[in-house]
Amino acid sequence: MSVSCDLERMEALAFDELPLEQARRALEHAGACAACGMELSALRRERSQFHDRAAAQPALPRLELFAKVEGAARARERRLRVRREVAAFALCAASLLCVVGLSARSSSAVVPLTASVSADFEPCTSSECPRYSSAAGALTDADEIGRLDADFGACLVATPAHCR
Amino acid sequence: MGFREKAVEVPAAAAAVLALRRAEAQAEADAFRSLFLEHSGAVHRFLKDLLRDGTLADEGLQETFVRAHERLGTLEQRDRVVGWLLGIARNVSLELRRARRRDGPGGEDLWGERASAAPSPEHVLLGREEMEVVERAMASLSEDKRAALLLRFDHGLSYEEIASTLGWGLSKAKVEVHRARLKLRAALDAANEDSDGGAR
Repeated sequence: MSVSCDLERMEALAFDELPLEQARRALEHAGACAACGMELSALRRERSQFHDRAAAQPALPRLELFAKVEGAARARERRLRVRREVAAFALCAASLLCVVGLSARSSSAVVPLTASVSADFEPCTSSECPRYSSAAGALTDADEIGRLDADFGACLVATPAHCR
Repeated sequence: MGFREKAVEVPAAAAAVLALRRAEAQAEADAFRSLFLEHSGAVHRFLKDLLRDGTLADEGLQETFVRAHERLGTLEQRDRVVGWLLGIARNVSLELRRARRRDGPGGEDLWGERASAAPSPEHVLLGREEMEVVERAMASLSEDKRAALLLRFDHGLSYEEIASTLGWGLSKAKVEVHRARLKLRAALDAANEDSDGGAR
């Protein structure tokens, strides 16, 4: 094997991957070099064995198989479409719920629910909501808190400072 | 013109768009059909070689082309369609193999079984002992080496295509094919020596 021996080139030659001029040169070299010549013939023999093997495979009922494949592909496409539509619907419903929830919360903060105020409402006592007493430091205006309690008709979590 | 007739009246532009879409869908269906008819043989053979089970190969073929149908739009290089299809087939074969292993024993030694079993019709047809030797040699290869060897020698893929099909680097693809080929060659040489010795 000489310096110009290149087994990859021999393989490319055996697989018809070389351009014409390079193939001619490689073939010339294989004719002159025993090692490359043997390599080339071994590669060709192996390749032809695989070709014979492939050619000897029984023919497939292609049209019949294609009908099955087409049916399965359509069924899967339908399933995917339904799944996508359900996901899109769920996303829309969730978004709508979020929007409704947020708008309800903001409207309840702005508009006092005076209609629901009970006439005999009494502010809660500290025994009823002792846990929140310390957290009420931020709310200093007792009248305001009282009004908010009155609006809701209950002692609120955020308004325990007036509890006695 | 009654109300009902008016309701189905389609403007010319919309009708043209509809016709175009229908034509596109038809062209896509035709392309898929010709893709199947042209390459199903090779894909089936590859699956059968990997799985060593005709029924499982049929199942794999169907799954491979259903997936191909889904991803047809992602195929960038149309000239590399064989590698692309065989890459899908390889993944399908691995999944089928895993499923079979999960379902019960018996899926592991299929190659061994096949190599020692009665010759298949194609072997009888060819009448070649060498073919049995090739089968046995392939039986002794690991799954990766077998896939690489088949892609190179049976399906004629370039090393770049083998690398991208199997998700390997180029050098690994070359090394695996080379090693598989050395094993195959050694087995063939040994078989030839045996037959020469027997003839003497």
